Amino acid sequence: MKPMKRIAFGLLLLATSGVLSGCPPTGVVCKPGTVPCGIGCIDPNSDRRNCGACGTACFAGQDCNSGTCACRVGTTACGSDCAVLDYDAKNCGRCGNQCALGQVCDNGVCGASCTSGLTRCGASCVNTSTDLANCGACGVVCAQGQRCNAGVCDYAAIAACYWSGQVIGFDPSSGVKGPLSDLGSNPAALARLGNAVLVTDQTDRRLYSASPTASGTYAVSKFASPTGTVATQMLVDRPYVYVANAGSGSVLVLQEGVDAGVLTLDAGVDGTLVLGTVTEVQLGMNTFPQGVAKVGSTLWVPLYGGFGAGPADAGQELAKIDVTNPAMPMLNGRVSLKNLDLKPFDGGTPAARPWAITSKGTDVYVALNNLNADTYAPEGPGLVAKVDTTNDMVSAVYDLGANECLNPQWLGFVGEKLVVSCGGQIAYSPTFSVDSVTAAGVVALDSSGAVLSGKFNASGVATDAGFMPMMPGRFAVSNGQVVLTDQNGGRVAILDVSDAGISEVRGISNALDICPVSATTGVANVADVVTR
Amino acid sequence: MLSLLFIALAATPDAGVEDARPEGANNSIWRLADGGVIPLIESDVIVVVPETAEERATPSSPLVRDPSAAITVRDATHARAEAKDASELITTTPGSVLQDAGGAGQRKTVSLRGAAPNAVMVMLDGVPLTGPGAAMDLARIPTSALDRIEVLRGGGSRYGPGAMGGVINLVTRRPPNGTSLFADVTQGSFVTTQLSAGAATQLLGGDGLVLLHGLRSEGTFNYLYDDMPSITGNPLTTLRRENNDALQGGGLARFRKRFGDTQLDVLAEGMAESRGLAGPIQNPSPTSRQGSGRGTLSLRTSTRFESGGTLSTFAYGRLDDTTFAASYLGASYHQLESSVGGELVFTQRIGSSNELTALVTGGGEFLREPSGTNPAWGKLGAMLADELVLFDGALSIHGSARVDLAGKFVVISPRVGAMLFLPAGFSIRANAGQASRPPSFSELYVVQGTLLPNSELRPERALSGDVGVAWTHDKAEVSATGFMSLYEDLISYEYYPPNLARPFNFSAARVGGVEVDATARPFHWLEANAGYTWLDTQNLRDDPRYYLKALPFRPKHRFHARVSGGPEWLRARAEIAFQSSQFMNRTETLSIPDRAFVNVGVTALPLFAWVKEPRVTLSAELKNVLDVQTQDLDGYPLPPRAFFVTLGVQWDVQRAAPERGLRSTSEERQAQDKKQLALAPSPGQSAEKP
Repeated sequence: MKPMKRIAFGLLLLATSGVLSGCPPTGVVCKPGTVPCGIGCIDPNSDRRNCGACGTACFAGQDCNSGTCACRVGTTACGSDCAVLDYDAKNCGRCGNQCALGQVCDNGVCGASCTSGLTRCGASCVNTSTDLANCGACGVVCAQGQRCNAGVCDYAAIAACYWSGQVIGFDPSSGVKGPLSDLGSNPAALARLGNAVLVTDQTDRRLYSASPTASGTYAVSKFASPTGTVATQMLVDRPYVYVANAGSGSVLVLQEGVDAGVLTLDAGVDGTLVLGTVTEVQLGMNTFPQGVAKVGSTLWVPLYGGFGAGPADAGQELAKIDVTNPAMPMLNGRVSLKNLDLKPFDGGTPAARPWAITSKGTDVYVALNNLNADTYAPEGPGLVAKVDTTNDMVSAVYDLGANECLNPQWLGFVGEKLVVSCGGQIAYSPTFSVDSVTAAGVVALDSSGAVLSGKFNASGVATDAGFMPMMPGRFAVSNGQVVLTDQNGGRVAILDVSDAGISEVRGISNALDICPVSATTGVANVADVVTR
Repeated sequence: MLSLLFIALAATPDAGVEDARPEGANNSIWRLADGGVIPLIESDVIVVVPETAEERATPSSPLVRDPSAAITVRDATHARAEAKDASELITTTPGSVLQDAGGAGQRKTVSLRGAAPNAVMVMLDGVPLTGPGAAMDLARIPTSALDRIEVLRGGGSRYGPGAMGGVINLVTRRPPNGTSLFADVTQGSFVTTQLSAGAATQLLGGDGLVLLHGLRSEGTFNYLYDDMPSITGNPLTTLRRENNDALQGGGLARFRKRFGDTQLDVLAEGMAESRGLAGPIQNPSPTSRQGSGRGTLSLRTSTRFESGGTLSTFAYGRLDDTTFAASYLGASYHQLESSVGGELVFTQRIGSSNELTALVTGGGEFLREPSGTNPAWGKLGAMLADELVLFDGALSIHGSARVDLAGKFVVISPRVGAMLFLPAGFSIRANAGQASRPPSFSELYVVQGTLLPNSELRPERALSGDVGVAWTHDKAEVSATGFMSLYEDLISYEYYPPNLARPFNFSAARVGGVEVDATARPFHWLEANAGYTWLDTQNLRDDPRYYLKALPFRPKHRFHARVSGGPEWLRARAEIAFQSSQFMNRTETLSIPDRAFVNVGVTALPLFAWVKEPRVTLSAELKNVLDVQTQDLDGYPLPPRAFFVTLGVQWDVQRAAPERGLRSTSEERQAQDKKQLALAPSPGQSAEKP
């Protein structure tokens, strides 16, 4: 080969090698908030067995909080031990106070035997109905963040992390979280069924069930049920479960113990809960049902309507489904919300957009987004329509206040107070990051529909220091408190409800960080929360 | 990264087609001694012999720009009765997957080798038909306007940003020698009418062609609907597809003339359309509509020098005006997209074994849209390529390096390829390169309904390679190609509060596969071809929900076979197109089942025995013979069985003598038929060999 051609070949080979350099990085990446550990992924912030790092286990009596082992709430550090001074025989009533051999520690006093109603576990007198270290029986330790309720370990609250495909249990009062659990792809709605948690997944179009494990995670059952498109909410009325499928325009009826249509997954634990499909009620194209409430033997379903002004007209109503025989549900008319006074802003032409529903007695209450049908911008104040189910009439429309509540997201009762969460109006920066949220928060109404003065104001402006405005979403009630989700920052706020209205227990400044924020998108959506 | 540069001066005679030799993928081109290429087109009956040397492919053609690449050329002239638009031609090529909104004139996009449709550069005679990083709706290109399609599969590194998955060059109908008039009309199912008419003649010392086309379809067909999607085994309901109509009209005018050593080619093309947007069947849109219009103008010159060099210049402009009404974008959404560009390509043969190509390109892209952001980009690019021919032409090596500035992105696209011709008709081809797709204006800057933009996006990148072997015989060709691509920084829309979506770079994927293509022509009146693609896709970097899962809307297996036969006056054809099931989401939990479409057709020349000119053809086509009811995308039903009849007339009023001793296609065909008729056996006798 001539020298010039040799050079040409060499340069070509160089070019080839250059072409093949810079291959993209590959490898398994654990879900957000979790890191690789062995063959799996762990949550280093809340996993007692791998606290802060893989393999770093907390001692007995300790929880893993934000990656650091610390004595569990309700215990006291006595040297290297975390002791319950009420019944720890080595630290009875105070650190270092050891009861004599053969004695027991009962309510912080050494004695010969346990008080009636308490159970002797070793040298300790415990209430197995409520004790986290002896829940239901001696030696049964609840996972961190769980409570012992009637001798059963369980989380007081469970949240669904939509973006990261996880669920997480936590204690709203103490703020202690359990570890993140992988569950589905994009969990959207939660419900409790016995000890299990039900989860609708909008990507997989399935309903999963999961049960708590001793480590505090949730183990997914190998049995799942197919749902329609965009399953937004469930209503559990055992043995039936009703699922609103917004995309399919239907309500799905599932039943415990029925195996029709049940999917057996490749992975998952064996379980006894099987929810089979019974039937599906078609509400019509472009109806977009968003939720389900039950009054008597009738399901009430808000119909959001399709995208754009034309398809929106297929909604703006409440559908009624007679479930006297749940295996044969019957459509039973509609209540129109189309002619309500939506109190539009100047020049506004909003559509009602019924989004969430709850019931009390013979009334249902529907949150109306009140948005422009094409742009989805709020063009009227947040509203709540009250419908008397005895005569199918809209008996009242409550104005939540244009400055206080735009785009209401969820509603429910705390005692006699109707509580409404408001997503607010979002303003984006020029680079389309969330810049600010206005008229967002939570309001409470008295029985007359008047908005109480005390409000939770979630409005705010994003800062360079990392503050993320909160977009209130769904909420649940636990011990009279509102457990409020954040659709932007993955947080949960805890609110009190009183005659004066809403007050903060944990507001924006000290909200619980529940769902991991995406490093790429910078957001996290707590899609739903359920409480026990 | 630059390939080698050799500059030497040598003079080569201006050779003609007599010195041509076949080469390229499936021997799909004839390489002229002066470096030019003429594409060979597989047709119903015979391989089309190029009519004149003026039909050589332009520097924009993949056959010229990337000759070692996996390229498929499909004739459009004989497919007009079968294929209404360019997508129906393209999907017969291996490595392609069609995404179809269902119905004549409804949106159709094509992915190549697993790359998304917005990573495929679609050109009309070298004019890019979309803005940066956007997908082209191929339903807007009627077959009647085309001469052929050239599909380059794999990274189109030599085309700069936007050709990450490949290149589709739609070559418009060419002015034939002489004067001719032509027209055809199709009538068929779903109240579909398609028309085209045109004329070509010698004009001002050159050749001119004018073509007008139109399509109207109501698109109302019945489909099966599952109103209980959560229930299995429930009876399906028959519904009617509404708001699925389409009305298109357009035309093109082409003029070419030779001025000494310079060839001038001017093309003006335009179309307008209005169509209903039926939407997915779960949530149909009864009132959404789209109206759009497109105009392109291009001017190309090609000058050959006695030194053996060729200088090509190319300038183009494109306007694309689109309005959506009552759609998810709002009550009314209007955008005007425009682009201008130019290209200089200089090719110089150096010595007997080296050819150097230098390319410089520039232009701009502009978008006017409702929010007032109105993004605009400037584009600059430069490429150096070198072809090294060794061992008396048995081995050729093609290396190139290209750098582009597209808006704020700098993109480097190196590529190397080789072809080895072996005895007994065998050849081997290999390529490797890097290509990219810049984010589109919409992804970067424009709010569209519930989709937000992200101005911080980075270009997607692909490293790709393929190796192929081919065998060519005068009666058959077979080729098999293995390919693999690694993708990085893929853009994906993710949840963004509240209930919106926004694009981000955070995916990587691997796509690999095998393409097999075979054609046989055992007799001049019989042709069969078949193609098979095995496509394996894997999400490479993501969380456990998606890792190693297949990419959605990429079926693993595609098979296409077609057989046609008969004398020229009555030709029948049948084809089958099979596509295996494909996932609809990234978690592999939802899928569209596999399907097979069978189409049959026949074309007759009812006046053949009496009148040769004008040539009247009558075609009948039955599509989806088995009445397969299926859908594409997520909720877009495809048409059921359909029947179309086409009447065509072509009158060659005056045919000029073909240059350099070559016969025209029709003359060649007639000669073959005469020979066949002479040999036709009497009853009881067998045919004698000629």
